[in-house]
Amino acid sequence: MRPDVEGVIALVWALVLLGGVVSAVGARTVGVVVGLWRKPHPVASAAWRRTPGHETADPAWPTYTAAQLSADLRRQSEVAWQAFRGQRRRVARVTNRGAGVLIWIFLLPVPVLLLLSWLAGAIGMLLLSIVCFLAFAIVLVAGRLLHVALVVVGRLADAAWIRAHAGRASCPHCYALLRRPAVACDRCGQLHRDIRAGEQGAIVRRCDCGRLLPTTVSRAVWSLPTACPVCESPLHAGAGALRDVRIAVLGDTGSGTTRLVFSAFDRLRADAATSGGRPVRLADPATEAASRAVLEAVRTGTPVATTRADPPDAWTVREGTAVAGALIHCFDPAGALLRDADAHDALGFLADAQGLVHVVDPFAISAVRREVEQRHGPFARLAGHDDQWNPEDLYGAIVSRMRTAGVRTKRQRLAIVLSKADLLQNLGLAVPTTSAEVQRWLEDRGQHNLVIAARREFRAVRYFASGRVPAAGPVREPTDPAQALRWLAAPQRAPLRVSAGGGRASAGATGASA
Amino acid sequence: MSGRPEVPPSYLVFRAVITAFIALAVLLLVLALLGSGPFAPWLAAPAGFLHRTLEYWMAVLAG
Repeated sequence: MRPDVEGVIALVWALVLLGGVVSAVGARTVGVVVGLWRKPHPVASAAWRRTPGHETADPAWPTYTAAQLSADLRRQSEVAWQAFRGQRRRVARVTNRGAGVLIWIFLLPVPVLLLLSWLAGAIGMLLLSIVCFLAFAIVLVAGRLLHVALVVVGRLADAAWIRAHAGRASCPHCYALLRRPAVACDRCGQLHRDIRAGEQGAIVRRCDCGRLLPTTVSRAVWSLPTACPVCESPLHAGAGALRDVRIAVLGDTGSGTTRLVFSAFDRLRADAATSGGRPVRLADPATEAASRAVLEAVRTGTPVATTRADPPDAWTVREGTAVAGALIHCFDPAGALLRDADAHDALGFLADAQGLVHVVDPFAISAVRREVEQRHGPFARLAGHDDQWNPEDLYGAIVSRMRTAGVRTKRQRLAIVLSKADLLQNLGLAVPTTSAEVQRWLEDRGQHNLVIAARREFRAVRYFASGRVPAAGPVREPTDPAQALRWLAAPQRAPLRVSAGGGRASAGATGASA
Repeated sequence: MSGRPEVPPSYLVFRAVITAFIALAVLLLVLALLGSGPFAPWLAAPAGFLHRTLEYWMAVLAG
C-alpha cells in the first residue's frame, strides 16, 4: 500500500477513535454527574415501603444497597444514553439542515467520518455500560456482604444479651407477650416495630424524619420511648432488655390484694434502701400515685378503695439495674371479675403469668369466723365479709377458668398468702408464719381441698402469712407482705432463695408442695 | 425546619465510591486505547481487526 494511503488510514483511525472516545466518555460523564449527583431519582422510604415484600417495614430509610443502588444504576444509564442520542441528533442537524444535501455530494468523507465516530461511540457506550454495571455490582456485592456480616453480628450479640439478661417483654395494658417492644422515634414519634439490624440499617437506622436510631433492642429500649406493638400503649423503660416477671394477685373483694401489692412494693423498696441491695423503684406514674394512695390508707387505717371491675393494668416495680434487673408486674383484678365467669378477657394476664398469688382472707373462712365469735362475740369487722366466697371455692373458680382457657398451670408457681395476719394477732388468735404452719393452719380450718388441689395443679406452691409491718420493724418480719413476691420474682433457673425471716418453706412444706 | 433529609448521607458515600470506580475504569480504558496501562493487550486484538478492516475499505475506495 502507498504511504499516503497509510497516512490517511492512520488519520481516519485516530479521528474515529478520538470521536468515539469523546462521545462515549462525554455521555457517560453526563450520566454520572446528572444521574448520580445533580438529578438522581431518590427512592423515598415511603415509596420503598409500597414495593412488594416491604409493606410491613418500619418508617425508616432502606440502606443504599437495598433500594437506591438499582435506582441509581438505571438513572445514570438512562441519562447517559439520552446524552448520547442527543449528540447524534446534533450531528444530524448540522449535516442535514445546516449544510443540506450538498454535503452528501461534495463532502462525503465528513459525514462518513462522523458516522464512524458515532459507531465507535456506540461501541464505547456499550463498553462503558459494562464498566458502570461492574462498578455498581462491585459496590453491591461488597456492600451487601459487609451489611450482612454486620447484621448477623449485631443481631446475634443483641439476642445473646437479651437471652442472658432478659426474656420476652409483656404489655401491662393488653397483656400481650411481645417478641420485642416497638420503639418510638424521639423526634417524630413514629413507631418502629422491629428496630433490629436489617434492610433499614446495620449499625444505625435513619428514621423518615432523619433521626438516627440504634439497631439493637437492648440499646433502643433504654434510649427511646417504647410501646406495645399490639395496642401501642407505652411500655416501661428497659422493657425487653430486663427480665419480665408477671404475677397475678388474686383474691375476693376485701381480701386485701391491693394492700398486699403496695405493701410488698413498699417493703421491697425499704429492704433495698436499708440493706444496700439492688435498687427497687416504682416504674411508672400510675403505680406511684396508686402506691401513695394505698400506703396513706394503710397508715391512717382507712379502708383501701375497692378495685374497679375493669381489666386491670399492671402495677409495676423495677428491680435492679439495666445490666441485671427485672420489671415485676403485678396484676390485681377486682374480686368481682374472678367470680364472673364471663369476664375471661379481663383475665388474659393469667395465661402468661409466671406466678400467682392467691390471697386468702382468714375472715372469709367460716371456721375462723366461728372462732372469733366464740372468743369475742359478734364482731363488727366481720360484717363486710358476709358475701365473700370461701377461698377454696374461689380458687376452684379461678383454676377452672384457667384450664378452660388452655393455661398450663403446671408451669406456674403459686403463693397462697394468708392476709390480715396482724388482725388475727390483735384478736388473740395464733398466727402461723412458716409455709408449713400456714398450710396446716388452712387444713385445720377446712381448706384441705385447696391445699391438695394447689399441690396437684401447680409447679410449686408455698404458703405465706402477711400483715401490716410496723415502719420501724425488722427488715424481714415473719408476716412481711413482700415474701410471696420475692419468691415468685426470683429467677426460675436459679435455686429458689429462702428468705431469712419467715414465711419461708420449711423442708416439709417444700417437699409437700414443690 | 422539617428535618427531613434529601437522602441519607450514607447514600452519598456509596455514590462517591461508585463514581470513583467508574472514573478509574474509564481512565484505564483510555490508557488501554492509547496503548498503555494494564488493559492495553486486551484491546490490541479488536483494534487490530478494526484497523485491518478500515485499511481494506480505504484501499477499495482508493482503487
